[in-house]
Parts: sequence; C-alpha cells; structure tokens
Amino acid sequence: MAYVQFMQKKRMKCIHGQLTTAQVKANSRKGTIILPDETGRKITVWDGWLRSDGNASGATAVVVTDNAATPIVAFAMAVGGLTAATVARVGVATHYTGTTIGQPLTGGKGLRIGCTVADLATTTVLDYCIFYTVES
Amino acid sequence: MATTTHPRVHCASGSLTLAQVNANTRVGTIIVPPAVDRTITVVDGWLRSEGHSAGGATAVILTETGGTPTTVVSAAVAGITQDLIARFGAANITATNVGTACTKGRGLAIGCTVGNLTTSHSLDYCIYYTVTV
Repeated sequence: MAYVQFMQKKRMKCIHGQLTTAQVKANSRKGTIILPDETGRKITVWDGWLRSDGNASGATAVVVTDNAATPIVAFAMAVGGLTAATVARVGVATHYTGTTIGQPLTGGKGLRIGCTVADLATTTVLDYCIFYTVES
Repeated sequence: MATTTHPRVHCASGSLTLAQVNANTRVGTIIVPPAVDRTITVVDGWLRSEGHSAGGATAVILTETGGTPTTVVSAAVAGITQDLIARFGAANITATNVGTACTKGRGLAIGCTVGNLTTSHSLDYCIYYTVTV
C-alpha cells in the first residue's frame, strides 16, 4: 500500500569524487565504474550534480548509468550544461534529462559515468556527487 | 562476498540569528563541531533568509572551523532573497569547494564577509555532508 512505502525509512547515501576525461570516455565511452556491482542490492538515484573544470565539449552528454549490459540511464547532462567550475544539478540545469531519477536501476548492478556519441573533450576532470539509496 | 561501502549522508540543519552570523568578527558560528581524525566533505545544501532579503555583507560563507579556514560555499547576498531557497551552485551561490574534502579534524561554520549581515531576521541552513575517518 502506498502509505506503507512512504513510511519506509531509506537512508540516503552519497558517492562523490573526481574522474579524469580519460576515465569518462574509457571502454568505448561506457566510462568508469563509481559503484561496483553488488549481488542482491538495487540502487535508486535520487539526486546529484556534476561539475567540469572546463567547458565540456565533444560528447553529446555525460551520463550516469547502471553497470548492466544494456544500462539504464539514471540521468544525462548535455555538455552544453557542463560549464567550467559550475555545479550542474539534477533537475535544475537546462541541459539535464533524468527520467529514471527516483526509480530503481537494474538489480545487482552498480553505477558508472560515461559519455555518449563522441568522446568528452576540453574538460580535464569531472567532479561528481550522486545521492542514492540501496535496497536489498 | 565483498561488501561495498555506501557513504552515509549527514545533514546539519537549523536557523541562525543575524548576531550568530556576524559573531566573532564575522567568522560566524559553528554548526558542525570539529572532531579529531574526522574529515568532512560538504556535498550539497541550501540557505534561506527569513524576514527580509539579505543585505549589508558581501556574502554569507560556509567555511571550515579553525585558523585560515577554506571557504566551502560563498553566497553573495544578492542570491539570498527572502523566503527562497538559495541552493549551492545556483546563481550567486558559488560552490567552489563543495565535493572537496575539508581539512581533517575541522568542523563547519557559517559567517559573512566584508560587512555585517543586515536586514535578514534569521538565516536557515541545510548542509549535506559526508564524514570519513
């Protein structure tokens, strides 16, 4: 029942760090794992932000996805929204899309950050901060 | 089976009076006390002025505690308008060191710069952070 779900207390977690451009475009742009797979766990991304040290270019978007072979995209940030040293926030930045925010990702799979269409360029490093919950 | 460490998010929230923001020659008031061997990283948050839009000071700042503290967030008073949530990273809310680890063993304080904060009646804050040992 809806009210039972509402009453479940989910402790929010946060993974944050920094990736180089090489890490974002690694593995044919699938990127680099920031949370490893964990059997029996299911991650839901609720919020977050990205920050580039230079104006991002080259790629169409930087994407936060799960680690599945056919990954679900938690959210995407078009490079036009990743301007130098500016926090590009989920749900606020003009260039953000995130239809899977608040929805469980693939069971047992972690998270990774990559890019789409072409390699990320111009940026040297990408800061990330992802708020999520974990369910068994 | 190896278990992934999922960093927990903590939240410091409350309301400061103008006097508390202006205290200690604008160094302000501690909102998270220092803890030896703990390292705080601010990951997100917001400020909100109650009673009136902020004025007087150049900026409200979230800093480390201690000598020569690093500024985590600098919120120009123009970005702190009455009753509106001024979120880190939004216009006028410079979040340079959000996501960057503070100095080990230091807490967090909210103060202001250049002049005393005026016109606001109080300042609400909500600061999300992680702690590592």
